[in-house]
Amino acid sequence: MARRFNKASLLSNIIHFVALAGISFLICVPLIWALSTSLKPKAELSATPPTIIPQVMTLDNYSHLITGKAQYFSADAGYKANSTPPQYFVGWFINSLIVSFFSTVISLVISTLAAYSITRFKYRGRKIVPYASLLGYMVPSIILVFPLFMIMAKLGLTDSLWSLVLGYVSISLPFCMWLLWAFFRGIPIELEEAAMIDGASRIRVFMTIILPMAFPGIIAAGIFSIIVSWNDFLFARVFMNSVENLPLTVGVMLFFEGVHVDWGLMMASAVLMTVPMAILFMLLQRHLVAGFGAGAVKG
Amino acid sequence: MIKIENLVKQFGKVEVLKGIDLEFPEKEFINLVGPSGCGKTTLLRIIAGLDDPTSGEIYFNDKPISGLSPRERDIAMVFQSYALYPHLNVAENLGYALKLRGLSKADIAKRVSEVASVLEIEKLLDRKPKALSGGQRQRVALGRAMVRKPGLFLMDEPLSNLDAKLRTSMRSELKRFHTHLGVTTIYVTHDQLEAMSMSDRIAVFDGGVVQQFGTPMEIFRRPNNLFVAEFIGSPPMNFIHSVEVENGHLILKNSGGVARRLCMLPGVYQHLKSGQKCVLGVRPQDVAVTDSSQADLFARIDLVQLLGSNKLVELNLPDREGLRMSVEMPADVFCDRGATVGLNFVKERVHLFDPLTTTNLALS
Repeated sequence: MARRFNKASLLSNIIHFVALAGISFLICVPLIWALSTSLKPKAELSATPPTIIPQVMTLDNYSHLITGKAQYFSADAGYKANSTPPQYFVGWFINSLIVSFFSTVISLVISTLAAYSITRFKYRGRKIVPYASLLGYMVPSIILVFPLFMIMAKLGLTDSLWSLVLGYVSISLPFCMWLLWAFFRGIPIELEEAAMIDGASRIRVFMTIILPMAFPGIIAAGIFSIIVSWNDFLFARVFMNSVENLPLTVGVMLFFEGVHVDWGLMMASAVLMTVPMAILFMLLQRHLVAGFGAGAVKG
Repeated sequence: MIKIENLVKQFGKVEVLKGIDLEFPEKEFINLVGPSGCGKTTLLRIIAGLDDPTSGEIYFNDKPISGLSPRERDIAMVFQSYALYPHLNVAENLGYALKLRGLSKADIAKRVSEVASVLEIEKLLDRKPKALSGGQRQRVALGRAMVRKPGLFLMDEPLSNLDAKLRTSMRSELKRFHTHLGVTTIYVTHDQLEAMSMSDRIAVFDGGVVQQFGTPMEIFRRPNNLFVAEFIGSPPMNFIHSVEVENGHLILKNSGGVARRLCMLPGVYQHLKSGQKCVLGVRPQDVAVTDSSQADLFARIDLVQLLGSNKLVELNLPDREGLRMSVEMPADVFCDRGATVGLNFVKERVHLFDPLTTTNLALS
């Protein structure tokens, strides 16, 4: 009996494993395809049948993007040698980094303080703020983008990276605040009182007790904010004008040059866009583990 | 010395503390006891500086302390939930207050290890609170308060999350620490047994008012009013309503109007005049069971609970419908369910209360 049972459980394990592997593979196909395409020489791109593992590996596409070498018609008089998309790639990448960094930092600083204030101080309206902010987050950004553009125009910020920073903050701040509000509510107030009796000032309590305890929440909010700003296309498309000020998302679109699309460069860009995020998530993942606060109170 | 003067606390329209006046002598173990919602924890939080009083003042050694933040009051507090910092290990939890005071690392380590050895938690210093058992957390919370050498200890039901056995041993341990440290301690509990067994002095709270403040023996032997009499003591005191004074005796009339003499008036109640109505209170330990026909009352045994060396007997009084009494007696005294026995009150342990004002009628 026991052997049959073991066989059955082995079989069920195999089925589960195969099913999960299949689903994982399906999810990974676009990424694998992008990576494979980015490593192929131009001749192999349109080979029939298509190859998943490139027959000839090349890092040309990457080196072109990073060195900014113009690939086509660079000697051709009919084309301006300095205006092909790969030349801007590093600049766009830096733009995306700057915008994501500042919008995330601003969102986190404001939402952390706001959430703390809402959970710990008593004043009129503090109860509706989290819900109202969540409601604001539910408005699709396509509806917000034009009013925001008008505001940016009035502020004279259009075509500047600050317009994107502010735009992304307006999207991510409400949700970050709501998330941290939920997190702070779960931190027992006795911990703060204990620290105050131990001799800490309120700001000290905030820095040494509240922030470390809310760390997983802050990381989650930060990841959300980075995703919003790193992946946005709409705001950048509307707010930005000059080629050198574009972030990656909109910039990469310029690889569609009329009827010609350089898939190799495009996919290399896609890989380079994805890799920093993937690394960041891997580094932050362990901080996201829930149950951080377990054992604070009660026996 | 801590002096509390006419302290009032309102939350919105609800008056939680209604003019508290108390004086706690130096180095004593003071217990604030009362049912939940009586205001005892609120008073503790006001002393700690976590809440502000609506009016009134508190003095530490004749200096008013309102307006001082918790950290300026030189106090340490043990919370009911322990409130250990979950992201710090035990050593860091213990040393947090010392670090804030700017002590050197070596000094902090020395003080932490001193306290850890007193509390026998040296082996736990590297652990995070979530890796500790309830009793261990309790010790760490206590250690965090002790390490500071504060001028005043505040404890908010620190034992209520422990199991019964651990609670008993922690009770004596806390008492021992108090003797060892000699620091004034204010301890809040709803458990009258904790209050009785640990304190030098007890303040019994109900409805935002101090019902009685005195030594455990005073409160047990001469409760100020019906509330204190009922709240303190386990098993609870027996009460017989509509007892009357008649010619230096206490009488009890049954539903048919037939009066029965209970006992002579105890010494402290000699001033009561005939016709005075009162509520008689007598503790289960102060009633003796007898088979003599000269007993004060006769009752039928309804239920017997063995407590160990003693047993608690619950009785029905046949000629007084609905009246029940409980009597504690040695476990080896033979008594059967359904048997009728005589009850004699220990005269000097009988308490008489005014049925209207509920105060004790004894001459003060």
